[in-house]
Amino acid sequence: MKLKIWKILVLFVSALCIISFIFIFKENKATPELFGVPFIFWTGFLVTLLIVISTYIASKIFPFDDPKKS
Amino acid sequence: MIGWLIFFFSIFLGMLGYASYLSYRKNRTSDEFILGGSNIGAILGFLTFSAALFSAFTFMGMPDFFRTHGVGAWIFLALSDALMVFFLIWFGYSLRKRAALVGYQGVAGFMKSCYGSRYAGYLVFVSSFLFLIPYVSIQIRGISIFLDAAFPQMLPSWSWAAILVLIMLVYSQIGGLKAIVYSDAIQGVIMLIVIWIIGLTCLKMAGGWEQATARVQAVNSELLSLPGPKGLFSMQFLVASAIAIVLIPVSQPQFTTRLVVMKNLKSVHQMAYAVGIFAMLVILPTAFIGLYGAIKYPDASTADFLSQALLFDQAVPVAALAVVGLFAACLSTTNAQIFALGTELRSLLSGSDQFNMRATKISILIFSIIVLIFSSYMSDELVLLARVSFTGTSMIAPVVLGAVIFKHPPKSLLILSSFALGYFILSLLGIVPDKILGQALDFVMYGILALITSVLMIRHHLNQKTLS
Repeated sequence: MKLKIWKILVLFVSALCIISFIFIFKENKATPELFGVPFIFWTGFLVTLLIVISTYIASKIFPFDDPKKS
Repeated sequence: MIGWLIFFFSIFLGMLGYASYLSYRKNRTSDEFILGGSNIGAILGFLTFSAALFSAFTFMGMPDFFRTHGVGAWIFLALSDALMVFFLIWFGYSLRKRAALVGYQGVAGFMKSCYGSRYAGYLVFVSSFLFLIPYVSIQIRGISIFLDAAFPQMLPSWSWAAILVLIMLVYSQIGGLKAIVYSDAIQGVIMLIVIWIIGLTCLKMAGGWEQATARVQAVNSELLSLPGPKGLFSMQFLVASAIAIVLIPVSQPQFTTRLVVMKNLKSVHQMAYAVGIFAMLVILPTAFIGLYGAIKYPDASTADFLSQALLFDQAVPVAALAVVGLFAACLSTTNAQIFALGTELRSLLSGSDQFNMRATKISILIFSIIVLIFSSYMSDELVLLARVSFTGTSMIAPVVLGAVIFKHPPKSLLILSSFALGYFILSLLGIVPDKILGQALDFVMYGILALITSVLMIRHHLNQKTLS
């Protein structure tokens, strides 16, 4: 199960990156704003936050044991 | 101001002295000196990794980057750092797995063992030396520019750099890696506190977030979108930067070594997401400072903007704390990198423990002198020079990745990385073009390297399967 979640997380982060760089982070796009924050900033912040949350989940479910211990 | 400076510096130096005292042991081996006993927990690990990663280039370069190139600077650094910490989850595990099998004394020595070739070790050392020396020099140059602008004619410019290197040498020679880790923890905390105090002050002076963005819009609306007023943040630049930053733990030995010397894999993983949170927390206030600068100092030079925003526009105690914070940020990155060069050299030596220890200490001294000399000749483009350093060291990433993935890695990766490194250096020297078919060289090289590395690794994997 852990291995499956780990693989899904890797796929999610990879897809998020590709989608962000190709479709979200477009040049000369400053709207829609969110609470006065320009589009590129709030979308960039959101993507960053999602990746950090994915890192947190990955650290909890990483499927392999500590090699030094084993 | 001087009184506050003396007060904060005394506390800071007192803490550094205590860290050295705690780390000092009389009859320690070179392993204890260089690898800190390989028993670093999650909190210390995250603070030392963060302090080594976020340096003068973040503290000074990023506000200036936001001011000059706009909000795309967030994607350039924060998003790339987030990707890097996610990558650390797998890389930390794979690296520790191989290190447990073949032993680890430094990346160069580790590569020598994994590939069974001295050349692999030399390649890593040369790459580290060529690109870390300029990177360390950038940090020192940065702090010298700032202090020189802040306190003109107080001291000659070079003496600020000399004081910094001297402090670093004293405590690293006394306490080794352990002292550096403790001092990084102190510096990381100071840096975070100071950058937030200054960031919030700048945001308040700009009239709050909504008013600040409205004023930036009026001054230069291009700062609020990609690619920024000067066109820097093109998709190619952002993607190439993200790759270079993700590969930092693979190709910059001060980070690779920190992953191995941590207590266990759990600590590495806790450290990874903590660094991600720290990255967001440190970079966000630099955006506030940058946007404030875009409104108030749009045409000022980097040094003038920084000395105004970080010092003269702040309350006196905050300004004094900012000087100490900057000094701390610079010191933590400088010590990590110079010490890493010593570690790399030592991992290639095969003499007695006593001889290796002496050689490492002398080499750290020599590297420090080289860095001091080099820092006098650096330009003021801190962030862009840092990025060249990241890109340069990342050329050896195929070699390191091959070593952590395969039991017997393919030697063809050594040829590939040597060629890539050589070509990149030639492009910096202007001997070969820095664009291929109109595309940025680093972007094209990453594409080619990823493709060839994948082909070589898949072929090697299939060959190994056939043999077994």
